[in-house]
Amino acid sequence: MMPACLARLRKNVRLLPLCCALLPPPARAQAADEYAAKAAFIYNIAQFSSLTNMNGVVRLCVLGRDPFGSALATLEGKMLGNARLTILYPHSGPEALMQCHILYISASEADDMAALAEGARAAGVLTIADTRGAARKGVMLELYVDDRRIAFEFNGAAAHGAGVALSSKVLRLARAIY
Amino acid sequence: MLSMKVTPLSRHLSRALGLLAAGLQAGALAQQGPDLNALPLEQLLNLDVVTASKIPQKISEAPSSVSVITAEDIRQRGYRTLTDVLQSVPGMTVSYDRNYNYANMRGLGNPGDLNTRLLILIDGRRLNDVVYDQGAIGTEFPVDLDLIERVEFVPGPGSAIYGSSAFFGVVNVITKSGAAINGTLASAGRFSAGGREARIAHGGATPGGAELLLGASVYNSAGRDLYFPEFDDAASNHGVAVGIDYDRYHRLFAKLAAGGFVAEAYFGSRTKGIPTASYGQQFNDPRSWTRDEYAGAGLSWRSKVSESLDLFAGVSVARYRYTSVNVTEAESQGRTSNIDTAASLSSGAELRAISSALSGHKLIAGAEYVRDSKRQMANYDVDPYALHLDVAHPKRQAAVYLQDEMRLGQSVILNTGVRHDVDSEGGATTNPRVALLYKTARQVTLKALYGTAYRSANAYERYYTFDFRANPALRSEHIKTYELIADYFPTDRFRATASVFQYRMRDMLALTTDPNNGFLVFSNIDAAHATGIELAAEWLREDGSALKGSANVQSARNDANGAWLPNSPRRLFKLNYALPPLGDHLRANAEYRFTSRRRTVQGGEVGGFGVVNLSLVGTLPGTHVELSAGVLNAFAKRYADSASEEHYDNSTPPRHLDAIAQDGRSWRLMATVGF
Repeated sequence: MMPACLARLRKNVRLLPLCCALLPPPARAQAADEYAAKAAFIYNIAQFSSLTNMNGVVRLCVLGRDPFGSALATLEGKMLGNARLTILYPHSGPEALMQCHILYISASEADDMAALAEGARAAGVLTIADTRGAARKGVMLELYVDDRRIAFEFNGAAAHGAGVALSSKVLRLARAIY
Repeated sequence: MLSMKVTPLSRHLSRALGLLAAGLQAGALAQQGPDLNALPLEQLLNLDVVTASKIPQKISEAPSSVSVITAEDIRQRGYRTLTDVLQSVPGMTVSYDRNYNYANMRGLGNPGDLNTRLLILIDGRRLNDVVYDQGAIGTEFPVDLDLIERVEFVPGPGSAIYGSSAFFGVVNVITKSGAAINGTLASAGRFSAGGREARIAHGGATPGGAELLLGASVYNSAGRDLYFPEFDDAASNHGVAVGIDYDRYHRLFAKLAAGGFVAEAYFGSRTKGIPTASYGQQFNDPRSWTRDEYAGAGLSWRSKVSESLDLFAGVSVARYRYTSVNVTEAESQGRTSNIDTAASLSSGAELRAISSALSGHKLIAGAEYVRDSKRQMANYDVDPYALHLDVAHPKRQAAVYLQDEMRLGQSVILNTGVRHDVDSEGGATTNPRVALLYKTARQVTLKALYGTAYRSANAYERYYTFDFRANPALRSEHIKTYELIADYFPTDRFRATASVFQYRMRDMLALTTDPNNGFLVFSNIDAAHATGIELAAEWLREDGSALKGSANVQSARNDANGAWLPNSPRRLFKLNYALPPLGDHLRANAEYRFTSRRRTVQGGEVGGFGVVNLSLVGTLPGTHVELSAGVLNAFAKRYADSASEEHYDNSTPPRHLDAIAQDGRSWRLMATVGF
């Protein structure tokens, strides 16, 4: 295909775009879906955190409108040390604080973010959100996308208050720590 | 000769198709990525991520059922006018009389009413002029759709926020920022019926945050010859209007944003041939046309004074000029033509504060002052000169409004608003709005809405005295609406709503023919109501495809005699399917729109119809060239819209049009180069 193309090129330079179009696209990094990457991030964090009262099960909860699609289902049943990860969808803030070890607070609950963060600190729940400003409002981990990369901020005071400790391996990757 | 002309085109087409096929092939090579859960954190944070489109979060908390059409929707579906956009909105149908487009919302909207009951905003500023109140949604709308970031449509009365004209709904057109274009885009288009378009847009942002957007376009369509059975006789060219469905426009747009300030200006001038002999003209006479010219400028300032206080201030000026050339005698009988003009100029200032300082409340308070310094209409014959009408009625308007979004606990939001308007001509009016929202735990939001709106009689309805009787004592028309909505929004990618509504109108202004002298006259005659159900759903699927649909069952009747209102369909059905991306470079979209039969103004009926539109948009791989192609009414469905009172010719007695046939299959092709 190449030599034929080149031969024709000499005759007609205007065919260049067509020629290029027929070549396979240049190899480039595979782009991942934002929420598949965020789900993997949460799984990673869970591996590097000290969670209390696990009793063989780590309950990861999504409060509010679920943005993950099918991405979270890939985490169901995965092992974290001796504990098995399970996904729950509580219907209210108080229910979530009673049941969950890790709580993802959806953007649909943004108006109640500060109150939920406060409650989670008292209940010893690790909180995660991807609403801008969440870490400043007391949510422990705030995920966001910057220049097509997942980035995060960490609220150390909130985590300390809840008795949740994160590995220093994680903390040095944070863009900001409060 | 003909084949010589066709060959290069077909070669271009086959080349283009080849390139599109190459895009498809490239897409097929894309594969599933690795297991992300197995990646170490550092690698995960270095991964290139793509953000899928989502339904905006706050949409379910809005005190109505808002529809949003984004720039990407416009691009994928190849929309070219606001009419295209509005026809995708649940409950909306738009009819066309070969000059203007007339919106009908939830069964309400007369053909020929110039969308006086629909408020059109460009970046929050009123476009409806102050002579006719005309809501421009066709080719006369002055901003190119490729400069639009999104169009928000809020059905129901908006007078509690926006004042007059926000009667059946508010269309807010939000333009792009300079950064969204980021470069220069040059486009050229070809359309069926001899249409051509050239467009250029330039946008950019400085590191300091200043953004500039410039746009210009020219469009010229020769139009098809049109057949009108009502005019079919030997003296009227057997009912065929030849070469007078032409449509031409040119548009300019500029926007500069820096440090909280936004300065913006637009200009659009559209000239349209008149093939319908409306207002008693000579049929098939190439001399008659209308021109609509919009120009506007605004300066606004927005500032976040504190964490809980936002301030907004703006000044704006808007001008509208209308000219029409009317030919009432055949060229053999007389050479005179009649000119009808209108000029509208208003300037205004507004101030708005948004505060969340009070816990559990979000308060919006604002004030507006508008001076309509030019509100002028004239009508004269050219040769011999004779002045029939020359009136000017400037006026002033002022308004204050207050809105509160109050949170009562975790799950109840009470949204209230009231606006008081004072109009130097129409008097004072107060319009409230109440919305009660209840969020259940299972992502269902229940809403109960009540609102009122008004529209003060415009200069045309009051003072146009040439063919019409003047009627300066006309009252404002009023509407009350009740609506219950259930909104189910479980994930970022699926949403379904069901709505039951009732709209009650009184003192409706309508054009009727005076039986004594045959003149057209406006009066506050009608009271009417519309009742119906609207169902809508959208599903953004993980493979990148999207499905949106809506269905309406509704009934709109005149209160006096129970008659079914003209131009009011009882059933609507809309479906839009965006196919999964065909590779990295190609998107395809299919759209279906069904409108059931409608009564015409003359007492006849036009049949129900379903129309399918197909579109394809793709980037040529490795280039900055985007090709967009579309087939409208792909199955060439024959259908017609109702004509209105003014569609009659100069015969004695006048021959009235009952229905106006719409376009059969048509196509468009657009190429855009970015650099």
